Amino acid sequence: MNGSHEDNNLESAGARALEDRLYRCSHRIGAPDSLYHRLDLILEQRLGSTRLKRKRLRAAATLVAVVLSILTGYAMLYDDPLDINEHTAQDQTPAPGMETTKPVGMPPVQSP
Amino acid sequence: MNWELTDLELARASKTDPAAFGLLYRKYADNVYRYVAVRVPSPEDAEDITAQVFEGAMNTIHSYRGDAGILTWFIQIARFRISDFYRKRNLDESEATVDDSIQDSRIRPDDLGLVTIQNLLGRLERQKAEVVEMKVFAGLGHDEIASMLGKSVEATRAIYSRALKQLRKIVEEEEIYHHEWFTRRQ
Repeated sequence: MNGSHEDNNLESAGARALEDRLYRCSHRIGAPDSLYHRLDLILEQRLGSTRLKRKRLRAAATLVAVVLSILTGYAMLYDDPLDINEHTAQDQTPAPGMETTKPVGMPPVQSP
Repeated sequence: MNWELTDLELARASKTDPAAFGLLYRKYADNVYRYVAVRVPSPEDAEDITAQVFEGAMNTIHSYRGDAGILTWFIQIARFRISDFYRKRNLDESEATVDDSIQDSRIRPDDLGLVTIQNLLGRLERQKAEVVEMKVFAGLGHDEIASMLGKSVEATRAIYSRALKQLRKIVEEEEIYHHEWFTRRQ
């Protein structure tokens, strides 16, 4: 019983020693500089395209703002104020059957 | 105040700012490269695949939800890329990593180089080898390996332990062989 327990201990100790060796080897393997260089290049390209996208978006937003302000200015310039008076005048026209103001000095009209 | 960002924060920042992704690959390129390097025939292939892994991750970072750790996610992508690599070449991984010259070479004490390790792992069942690759070379924890392989943590630990015992046996036999061969030559 004791013997098999010792065997197990030895076996686990051996496995642990091998594990250490594997870890040591693993840490000796490192990504080469050329890999980092490649990844940096990919990232730079990505950053470049993101900046370009942002620039385009900003340009589009500016363009929309300019067009909107031009349209607003145009509308203000060409908006005819007489149109408004006409509407007001129409609004002030008395409805049929309502009294109208008569010219001063005219005798009142007698109804038959 | 702690200004260091967590992996999840960096991954979230990467969705709008690619520069944040740079910090992630600086942190994990070694882990992914090691994992790939023990599974493919040459360092050039390992470099190509690792670059593809990070490029792919950069393109799909918006789909990363943070359910698993970012390294687990990178290793998951690496697994797909390695499978693609062998499928495109109509190769089987266990055959491809061990060539004749490697089989003839003997393992020397305290010299577990990359080729020796590929040779050793090539003699294990695929699942055992994969657990060792993920644990030792990718640096994943048992819980992360278990979630990736769809197994319980206990099962993963057991596979790892069995794999180490088997590897130890192979190394011992090879080292004895090497010792005998060396003394005979003297």
